[in-house]
Amino acid sequence: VALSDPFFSPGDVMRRLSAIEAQQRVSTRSLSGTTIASGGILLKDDGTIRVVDPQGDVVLTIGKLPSGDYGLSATNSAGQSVDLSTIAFGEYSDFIPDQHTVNLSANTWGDLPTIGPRVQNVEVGNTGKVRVQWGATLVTGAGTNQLVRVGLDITGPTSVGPSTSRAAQAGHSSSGTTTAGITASMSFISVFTGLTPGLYTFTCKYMTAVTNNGQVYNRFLIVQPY
Amino acid sequence: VALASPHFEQSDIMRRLRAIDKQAETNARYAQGATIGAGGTTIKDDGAVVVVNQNGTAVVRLGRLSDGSYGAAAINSQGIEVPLSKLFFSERSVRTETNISVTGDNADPRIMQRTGPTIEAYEVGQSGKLRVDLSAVFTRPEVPLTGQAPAFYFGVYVDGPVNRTPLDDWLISVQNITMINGTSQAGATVGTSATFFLEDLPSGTYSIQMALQTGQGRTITVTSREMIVRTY
Repeated sequence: VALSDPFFSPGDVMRRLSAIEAQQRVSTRSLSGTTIASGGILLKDDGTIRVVDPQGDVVLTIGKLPSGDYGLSATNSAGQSVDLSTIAFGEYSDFIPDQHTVNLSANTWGDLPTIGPRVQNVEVGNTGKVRVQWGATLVTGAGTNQLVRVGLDITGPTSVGPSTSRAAQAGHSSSGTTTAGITASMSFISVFTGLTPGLYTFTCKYMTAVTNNGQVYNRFLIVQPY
Repeated sequence: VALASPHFEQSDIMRRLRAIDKQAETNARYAQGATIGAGGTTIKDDGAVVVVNQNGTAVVRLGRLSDGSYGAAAINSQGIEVPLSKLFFSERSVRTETNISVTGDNADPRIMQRTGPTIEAYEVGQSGKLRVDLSAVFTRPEVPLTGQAPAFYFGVYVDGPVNRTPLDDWLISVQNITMINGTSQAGATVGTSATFFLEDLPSGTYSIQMALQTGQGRTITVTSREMIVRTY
């Protein structure tokens, strides 16, 4: 019998009305089997949509995020959140095509007249992780024991200096004195972990095995926090 | 006056009831122009929000995903889901600065030595894609021209539901750097990287291992090795 059947007694009608009113209150809090059509759903006033796993942990948030920003973020099993905007838009890069001589004392890290490539104000989140790729075309001088290196310097809440074991490099050594110089494009990709969240500057640094002997050009740097 | 007020005429009540019935039915299945404010909404118990394109094909899913995990996924035209968690958190890396010497042990330098480092128990999803970045610093001594080249070869072994070896083109080599008066090859130091993309891997658990080699009878020293693995 339909709810609106006129043969119901007033008491029945009142009881059914109460049931409908209660159902309405539940319906406003459950979206099971709902279709969202044109016009969509608007998230505002810090509203969020959250996906929780069977353990009750929030693994995905849309709206106001744990970082305080707005958008979409995923959370891993360690409780660390990464915003989609970091993955989609968070890559930084710099490129310097000009050829420069490396006028530095032997085996000492330093800058070229045009410093860099360099990226600044890179925000590292609560994962403390960043992936960096850097490199250049390296030109060594003729003679013995020639070597050109491009390393990476990180400054910020946690600082990491350049290292010969984490450097794009090319060089040669010999017992003779007439070794030809070489030209080689080299790169390095490395993940840095354990960085304290905050803003960082990444800068390429240079080293040669012989004072003032070596050149670089097409220097590049790509930084991706995640 | 409340809907349940006894002062309503019965016909009024019936009319209002029919209206409520209709509205309730619509509200239960349609959220057009709705707003979610503070307090938000939770997707749980295998619930999902699915975005469909103009052809009715699902392109984004929030909630429980086809691989049994929870979160959000983009769905490509083949119906393959790529969970965002793969893009965000699948990357693993391993790095060592322990010096090792590698002596060429095969006439075919493409048959590479499993020197590592290794990433174990790596899950590849239904996309079947894997990206591997390798970096290393090598040195070699000056050697005579005779014999095999003291070249640097590095690549990756992938072992799991299928196996891939460096022979399948997954290798990079740095060969002669320079010669000295046509009598010998200079010693050399190289720090460089390579990126490999592998596709069509059946979903499952894999072991990914860095591999090195040089010319037979030659010896190189490797001062640092790093491998970064991502699936997506």
